[in-house]
Amino acid sequence: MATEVQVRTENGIGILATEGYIDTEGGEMILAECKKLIEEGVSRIVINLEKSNLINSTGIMCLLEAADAAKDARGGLCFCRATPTIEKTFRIMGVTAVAKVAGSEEEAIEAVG
Amino acid sequence: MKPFNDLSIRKKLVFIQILTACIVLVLASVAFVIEDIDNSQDEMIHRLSSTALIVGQNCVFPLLFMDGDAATESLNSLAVESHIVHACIYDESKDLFATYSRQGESIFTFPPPDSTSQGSHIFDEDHLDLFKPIIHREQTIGRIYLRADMVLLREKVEQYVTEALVVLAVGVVVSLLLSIFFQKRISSSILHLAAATRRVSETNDYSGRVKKESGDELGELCDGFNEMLEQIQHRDAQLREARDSLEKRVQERTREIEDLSAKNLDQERTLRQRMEQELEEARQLQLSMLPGDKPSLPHLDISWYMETATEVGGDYYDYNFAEEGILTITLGDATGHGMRAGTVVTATKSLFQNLAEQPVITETFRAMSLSLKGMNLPRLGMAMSMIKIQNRTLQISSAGIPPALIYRAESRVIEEVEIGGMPLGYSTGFEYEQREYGLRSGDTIVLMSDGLPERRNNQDEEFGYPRTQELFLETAERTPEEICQHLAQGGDEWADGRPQDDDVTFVVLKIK
Repeated sequence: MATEVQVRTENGIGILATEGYIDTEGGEMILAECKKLIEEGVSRIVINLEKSNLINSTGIMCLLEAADAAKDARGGLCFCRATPTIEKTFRIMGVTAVAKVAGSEEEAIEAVG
Repeated sequence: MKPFNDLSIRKKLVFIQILTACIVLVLASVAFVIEDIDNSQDEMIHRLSSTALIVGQNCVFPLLFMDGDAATESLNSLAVESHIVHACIYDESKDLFATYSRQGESIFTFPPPDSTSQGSHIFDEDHLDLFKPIIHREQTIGRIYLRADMVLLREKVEQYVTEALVVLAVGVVVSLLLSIFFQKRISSSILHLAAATRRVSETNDYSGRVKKESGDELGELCDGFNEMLEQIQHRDAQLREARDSLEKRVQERTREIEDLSAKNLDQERTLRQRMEQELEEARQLQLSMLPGDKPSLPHLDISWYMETATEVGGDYYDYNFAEEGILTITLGDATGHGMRAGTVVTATKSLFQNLAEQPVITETFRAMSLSLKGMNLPRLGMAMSMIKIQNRTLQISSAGIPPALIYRAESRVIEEVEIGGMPLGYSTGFEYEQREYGLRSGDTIVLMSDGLPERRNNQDEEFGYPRTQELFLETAERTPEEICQHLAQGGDEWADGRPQDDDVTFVVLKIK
């Protein structure tokens, strides 16, 4: 299933809702949306992974890059609603060193706010 | 009997003509019979009046001289008129003067005399009664009464009816013969049209024509039918021609497509063969990066397993045994697939060979990460775990690869060594963590790529980390080689025929 990304902004926070497998294509799509938000001045970003339960290593490299880009713009990135497997993968691959992981979208907004 | 509407046109025509002829003949016969009866009645009245006049004249003198016998004698002359049943003469004072009854007739009561000056007649069911004045020198001197039976009239009526029936029968027969003869001239055209319609619908042959047999509406119908057939024949020919032309074009187009498909198929086959060849070369290159022989050590049993995916996945394992008795083992998984991953594996192999003997793993990781990042391969990195075993001490660090599992033989418990770290080559500033563990006899270590825990079945479900641990626990007491096979088999059973998305790799070490 091709990845879909819905983007909205609330109170200066960019919120991305993903759907589908986050592979190379999906990861690059999320990265592009994040860079677009940062260019628009929105550097605090939440990525809701509720509808994505699969991710591969290249997809994670893209998310790492997105987190670094937000951090470089003096903002931050927080993931929410990730499955336990994805949360574990985030810990294993060092994603948690550059981005936060929260349970709900509200918690994620609070974390980057 | 069939309803009239279901009869054939021929039978309908005959039936209508006979019915019409019958009705006309019956009506005509009835009219003639009525006319004849009327004429016969007039004739009967006339004859009886003449007889009354003659007999009346013969009775003039008997009335003048009151001679009843002479009058009776005159009346008796009526015996020659067999149809006269009774007769009588009334005198001037209207009294009965003389009577007559036909021989054999019963006693008859004569009616009172008619008082009209001209006389009168009355028909009843069986008789005609006639009264006539007897006139002498313009003076009515008496009256005569005659009663006649209707035998003659009935005979005539019977004769008329018989003749009418004969005429009717002859008329019906003649009408039947004529209608049979003439209906053919009308129905034959219709029957020919019906036959032609049936033939066209059964054979789709529009070449036949109907013979025109008259110049009336049926003739026009035949002309119209023939014209319609001609138009259909013409259109049918055009349609056939168009269909043939279309079929020819379809055949030509199909041949072109088949030729093109064959050509494309050849090109595709060649391209696929080339890709398969390149893929095989990449796989062989990947395999050539792996160590050939397992190290034979007195205190350790080692086994490894790798099953590559269809696409080159970039898994890698290697070892180095230093003179100081330090065994360094690494297991890596390049991010991405294909030739780009193969390139990272090649570079990692080279780096490992140069850096494996460094005593601190995190320093090795930092150096390798710096070199890989310098290759400027975007989003390409090497997830890796590395262990060093000296005597019974284990040092371990990890960079973005699934946790190592340590089976503690004494407690029969699996310990998961989860150490977070970014894949090598992504960041030069990441601080990797290194841990140290003591080992005892029977302890077993499993290093693995994400191929098994992330292996999916046909329902798109991942095998997962908990199942991986359970699988390991089932066979942790066995040899490293048996453990490798058990883990691999467990993954295959879970996938249930679904091809691998990624390389599946394990390195298993057991402390003797």
